[in-house]
Amino acid sequence: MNDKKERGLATQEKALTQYLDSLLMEIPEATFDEPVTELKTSAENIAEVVVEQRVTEVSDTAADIIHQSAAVEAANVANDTPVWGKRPFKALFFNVGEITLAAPLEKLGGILTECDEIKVIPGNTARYLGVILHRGQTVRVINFEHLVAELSGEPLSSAGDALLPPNRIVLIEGGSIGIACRHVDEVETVGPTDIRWRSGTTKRPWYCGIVVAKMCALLDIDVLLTILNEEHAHG
Amino acid sequence: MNQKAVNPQDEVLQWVTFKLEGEAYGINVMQVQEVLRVSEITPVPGAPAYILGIINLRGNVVTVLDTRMRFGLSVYETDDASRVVIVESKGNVLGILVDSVAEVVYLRSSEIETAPNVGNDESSKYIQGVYSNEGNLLILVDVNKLLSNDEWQEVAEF
Repeated sequence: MNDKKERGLATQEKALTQYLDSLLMEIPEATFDEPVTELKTSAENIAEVVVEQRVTEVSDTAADIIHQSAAVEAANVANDTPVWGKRPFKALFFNVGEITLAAPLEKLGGILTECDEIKVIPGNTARYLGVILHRGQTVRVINFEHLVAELSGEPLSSAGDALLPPNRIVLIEGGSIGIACRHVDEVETVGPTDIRWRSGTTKRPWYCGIVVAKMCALLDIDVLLTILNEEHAHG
Repeated sequence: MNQKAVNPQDEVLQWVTFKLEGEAYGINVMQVQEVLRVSEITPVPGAPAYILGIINLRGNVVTVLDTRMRFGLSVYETDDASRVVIVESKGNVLGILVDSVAEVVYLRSSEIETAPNVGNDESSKYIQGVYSNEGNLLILVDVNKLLSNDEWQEVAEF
């Protein structure tokens, strides 16, 4: 019995001590909690504001830089650049003889492999290898090296004489004309500043610039088509 | 003492000398930007025969002249000694292919003779003068006249 009483008293004393201790412990916490939270909140707000401002400043600066670089690019791109060349575009690179050419993909109509089906037409000029039927349409197949030699009035290069039979025919817009070529390389995205544009020239108007990284001529398909169709109409 | 009186107007010019088919030629050093080993020269479709092609010179497209053809000399395969001399004229930059580059020589204006009129060949108009020393002849080329105005313009558009 006595043991039980002593254990009960001890427990009460212990509980009271813990309660008082807890009260004593809570006082400082209660005193400093709110200001610290406020300070934290203020600091967080300031940090957020600063970060937001910086992000805004950075985004403004980035926007300025992008805007400025776009302006510089636009200034560098000549006014008589084809419409498709005023923004990044996909270009197909292909080999004609020893020459690599590039053409904007959007101006091409496909690639044919049936080169052994090219029919030579009696009286063909050297610029045409012949014709091929594709989806019910007659495609005139160009020997590009002979064509540029004729158009530019320059003699055919030795590479032209050694032109091997074509492996591919690159159809140009509309599909009525195809350029015979040995290899079709790849399609790459090219930006307006990747090209050294030609301007104000009447010589070789069918090529509008050089793709500097590849050092190859970029064809102006629209001009080439116009020349060929005009000559075809008159021929 | 055998001292010559020096004319203050007798300026000394520096000439970069190079070889073509065994003959020595010189071009004014002020018009030479640099001398390059022959790298890949990309042919340009429809280009005039005297243009070999284009090279990429640190991101810039430079047209290369077939100097032998321009001078009416025989065709020559390039070798290790061949060089492309980058010259500047009329605001345009042009590469001229030569068999080899020799040295830089200093010549007084008074030592340069006018080009002898030995024919009406087109090539003779490119010659500014000649310098002879102990039987050796140095033909001085006028870079500005290597191409006509139209040709310079065309070169700029490659």
